[in-house]
Amino acid sequence: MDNVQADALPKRPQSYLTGLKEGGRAGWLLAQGLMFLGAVWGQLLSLAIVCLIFGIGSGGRFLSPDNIHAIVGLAGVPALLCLGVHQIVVMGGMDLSLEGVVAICGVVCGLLLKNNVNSMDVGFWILPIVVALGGAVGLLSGIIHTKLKMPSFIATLGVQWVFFGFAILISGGRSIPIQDARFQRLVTGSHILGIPNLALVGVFFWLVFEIFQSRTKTGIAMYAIGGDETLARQAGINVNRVKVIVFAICGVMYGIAALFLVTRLNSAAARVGNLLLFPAMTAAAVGGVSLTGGLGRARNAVLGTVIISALNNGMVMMRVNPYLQEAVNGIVLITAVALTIDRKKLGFIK
Amino acid sequence: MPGKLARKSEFVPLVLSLALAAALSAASGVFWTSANLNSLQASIAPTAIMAFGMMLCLICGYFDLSIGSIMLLAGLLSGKFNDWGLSTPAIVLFVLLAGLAVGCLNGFLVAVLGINALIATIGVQYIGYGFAMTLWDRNMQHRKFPGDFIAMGDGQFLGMYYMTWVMLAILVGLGFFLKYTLSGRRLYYVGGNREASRLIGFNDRRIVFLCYAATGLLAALAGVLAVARIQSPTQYMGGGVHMTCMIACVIGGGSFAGGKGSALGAALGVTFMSLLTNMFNLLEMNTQLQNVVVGLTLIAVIVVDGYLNLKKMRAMGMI
Amino acid sequence: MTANSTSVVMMRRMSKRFKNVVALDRVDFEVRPQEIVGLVGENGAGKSTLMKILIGLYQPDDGEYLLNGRPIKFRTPQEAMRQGVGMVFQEGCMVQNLSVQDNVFLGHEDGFRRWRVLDRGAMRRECKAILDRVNLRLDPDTLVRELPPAERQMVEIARLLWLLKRYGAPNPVMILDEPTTVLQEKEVATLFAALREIKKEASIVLISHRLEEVIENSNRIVIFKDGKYVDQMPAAGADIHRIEELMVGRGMRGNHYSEDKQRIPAPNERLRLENVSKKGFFEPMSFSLREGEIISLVGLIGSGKEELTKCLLGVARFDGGRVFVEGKERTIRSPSDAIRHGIGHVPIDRRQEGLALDFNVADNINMLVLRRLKAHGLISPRRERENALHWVEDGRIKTPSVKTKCGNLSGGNQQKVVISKWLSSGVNILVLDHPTRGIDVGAKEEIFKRIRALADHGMSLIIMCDTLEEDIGLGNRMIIMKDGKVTREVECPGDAKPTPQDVIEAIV
Repeated sequence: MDNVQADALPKRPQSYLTGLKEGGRAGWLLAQGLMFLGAVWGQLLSLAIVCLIFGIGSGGRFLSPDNIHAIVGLAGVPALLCLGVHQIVVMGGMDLSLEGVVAICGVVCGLLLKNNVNSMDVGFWILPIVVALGGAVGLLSGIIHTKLKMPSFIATLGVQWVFFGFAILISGGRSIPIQDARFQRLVTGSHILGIPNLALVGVFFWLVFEIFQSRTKTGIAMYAIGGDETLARQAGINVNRVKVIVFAICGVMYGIAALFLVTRLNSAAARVGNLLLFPAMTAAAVGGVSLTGGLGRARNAVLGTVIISALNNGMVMMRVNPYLQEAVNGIVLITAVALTIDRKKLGFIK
Repeated sequence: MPGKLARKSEFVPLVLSLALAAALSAASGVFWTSANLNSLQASIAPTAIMAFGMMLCLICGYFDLSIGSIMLLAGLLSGKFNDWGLSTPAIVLFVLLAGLAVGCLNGFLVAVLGINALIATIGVQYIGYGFAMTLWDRNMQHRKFPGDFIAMGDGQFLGMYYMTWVMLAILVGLGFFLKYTLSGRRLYYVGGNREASRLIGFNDRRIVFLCYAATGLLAALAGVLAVARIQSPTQYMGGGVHMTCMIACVIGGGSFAGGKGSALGAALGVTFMSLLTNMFNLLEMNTQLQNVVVGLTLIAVIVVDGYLNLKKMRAMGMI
Repeated sequence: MTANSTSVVMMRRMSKRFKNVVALDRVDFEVRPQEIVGLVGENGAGKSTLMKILIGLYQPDDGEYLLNGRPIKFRTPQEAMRQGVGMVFQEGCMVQNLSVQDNVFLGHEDGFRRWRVLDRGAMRRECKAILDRVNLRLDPDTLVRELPPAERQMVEIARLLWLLKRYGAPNPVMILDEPTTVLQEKEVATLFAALREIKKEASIVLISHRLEEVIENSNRIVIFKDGKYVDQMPAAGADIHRIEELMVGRGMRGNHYSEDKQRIPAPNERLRLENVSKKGFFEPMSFSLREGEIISLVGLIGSGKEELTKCLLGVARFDGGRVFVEGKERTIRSPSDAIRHGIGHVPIDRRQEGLALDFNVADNINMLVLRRLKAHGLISPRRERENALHWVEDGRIKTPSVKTKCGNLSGGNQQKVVISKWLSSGVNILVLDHPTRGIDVGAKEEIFKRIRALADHGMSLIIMCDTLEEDIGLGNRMIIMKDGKVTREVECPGDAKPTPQDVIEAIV
């Protein structure tokens, strides 16, 4: 019987990766590193090309420490947004409510932090408040999507309008100047080793999401749903619950991003969220998060954001016509999506 | 007979429009003045022309979010061509061709490459807007449009603007096309069940491609007419129009699920939306309130459409 | 069946119907500890339905279900799993974009929590142990989509075994649905070697149409037919012919398929396929179809008949050979080519592929012939109505009006609409894929009559039916395929129909 078993299955060459993984702690770490590189080599290559083009075109200014600092700082808020929304794309859906949620969270921050419109001054309590608010709106989007069975893009479109309207309503359509200097220093400063604080926050959340995605039940379930929702359900996964959780998490990220946005500008208005959806989606697509679902991790979201930020920073530096920059962004989005489509799963977005 | 009439999908927007018109004429003495009616026409005609395109896409089961940028492009290109001294027919021809080209791009991305319609048309919107705005220079003095160009926007025939006649002509033509020709019917089948229509031998990819091309053409036409009316292109042309058209088309009987809709429905839906805007102006509502009303309309439309779809799928055992 | 107090599973008088279709009729079934029981029967015999009841996917309408002596009722497959009853489906149930490890533990990661997150090291070790059980040397991080079918199958089995044992059920029952269809010979040997090991700690129900394999590897064989339990026998010394006989029944009763009206086909050839082949699916074969002739294409899954029809209909393409329609050579590269040359298709899934459910009867019937219903260059609603009414009457379609949406019609009437659609378009060759699937008995007879009438009027038909009886009863001729080759061509004249036993050998 042993002979039969031994030569029946084709001999699979032990891949060097597997060998590494078996080789103790160090080998395992090395293997993880190589797998990481393997997954995002395309993105790293694109980043390298962008740096090359703009580095040469700008006579080296692009790659100066000051500029790198600027790029990283520029990528901070979009990275948070992208970290939030990419998980919804992984599940095969879309979230058009980004701008509305950021609007309402931004306005609420404006009204609750020290400002010259009312006498509120909640200071650091704003953090749990904005997390709760963003999460609640996300929860709502998730519930509409799962219970009313509306495709995600329609459900979130409705949420977008409603909360954008609320934001306008409670802000009276005006901007609210924020006078809490602590936050502004925090957001624009670089307290540790000269690295922008916003970047550190970004990295922190990156790690949190990586852990969520590979080391929690819900994270794995998310990828199963994106891969094949019916099979996921058959395996006993509570699909609705997972979807609602992911939407809520996304809302939380929107809220945190909104907080950073308004404190950086020192002013809150409903329109603070405008034009943020498109870069977030582009960043996800460029980073390698496939629109057909099931593929893409936090690293893809963050890398994609860095690439887009670098691209835009470079275009500004080279004085490209701002309108042309928009056109370029559009081309990049379409190309990125076209390259990551899984032909076998084409169909309406869920 | 009344029962049958009520079940037609155009009934709802018709009733809504009539009700709103009645309400407005009661609420404001200015409603029936020729100035107001003219402005209504000027708002309905180009938007309706664009909505026809959007409706074509909805019937096949898709939608086009780039029509705003095509309209803008058309307007700005008209100005540019005029600056170069082209004659009116030439301007119109080239602008329409440009719109057709963008429509073909949309069609290629969605029908041939299979890119999700939402992303593809949003991307093209950005690309179109970006390219269009490079033509925009607020400081430059533009040549005044020649008389015959302005006449396109200003001229009247039997009390209605030329553009209204154009819209009516397209309405009738498209209506016939959709109801009484093979290709028109195919649109509905492709939207209704894409797989089945493919197995019957309909070239669904070509049909969808042509829909997008037509939408581009129509959006460009609307842009030309609009710029002829205001006699000078602005950078705000086409802003938010895709939202208005989408709402108008769904009110008019179209559905995100595809396979439904009509030209008349689109026109009536646009009428309703224009009356809504008219109401905002006549009653001098502030912008916040306007946004709320539009938002509520959008949500109501989405909810009702979604609910009807759900009911239908349950009844047929698909859920 | 005498009650065996040590049975693991005992089912008695299980019955289940779907709308008007009886899937199971008072079936008895038993699973004993540490045995491999082979369950055989034709398509539609009720095997999968019973298994789905066993694992809690369906609820029976009537009957007793005892697990380890106690009556049980599973509401979900998860409940069944916890009690030790599970199934490996034919299509597999692993998510392609996840790794082996993630799939194995999908939905059951709870045991690996350490400090609120999953302990990947422990998961990896456990996964390797699980794969070891079935002698698989794999990196657990391999993505499922990268695995060849044989290994995927083994992973599924390993996974199921682990799941069943996890919750401490005393006598796990594992159901395997056609596990060897995608395997090569050597892989089959490995599979059964593994199963023999697994048998020591679990019972296995093996559903398979490969009778030699079943006889060789099971302890006991149970035969179903038409939703009923027929017989069982020990595998040792079982006679394959006896099994085949039991599977397909003893000949046919009465004029079920209007055999008396079966006509002799006209001599002219409508369709001729010469040496058509498709690599990996079927080898060069030829046959011709005459006017008024009905050919039954018979074969199991994997025989190549589905691919053959797909190529004929333009959904796939022949690699070699020539196709002649009405004597002229034609190339068919797309469905519209096929239709243009007069070949129509009544698909197996009429709801998804045959009809636009949201459209009304008239729209569906007229879909292909709108060109002809014009007046003054535009489609005439009056002509549409007339055409629809004509075909509704001709096909005896029961519908309140031609404006009724097809989604609201019964299955049988929906099928009639699909057939009428093709008739209206004037095709001469019609391919019917399982035309009576999901249709109740009364409507089935009507469809049979319709098919007979179509042939009578000169239409040429290629049919693939649910049961061998239907194939024999309706066809003038049967072409049997197995593993990509034509094994037999059988004449089925109206007055001298062969019995299923005569031909079953060529099929399995």
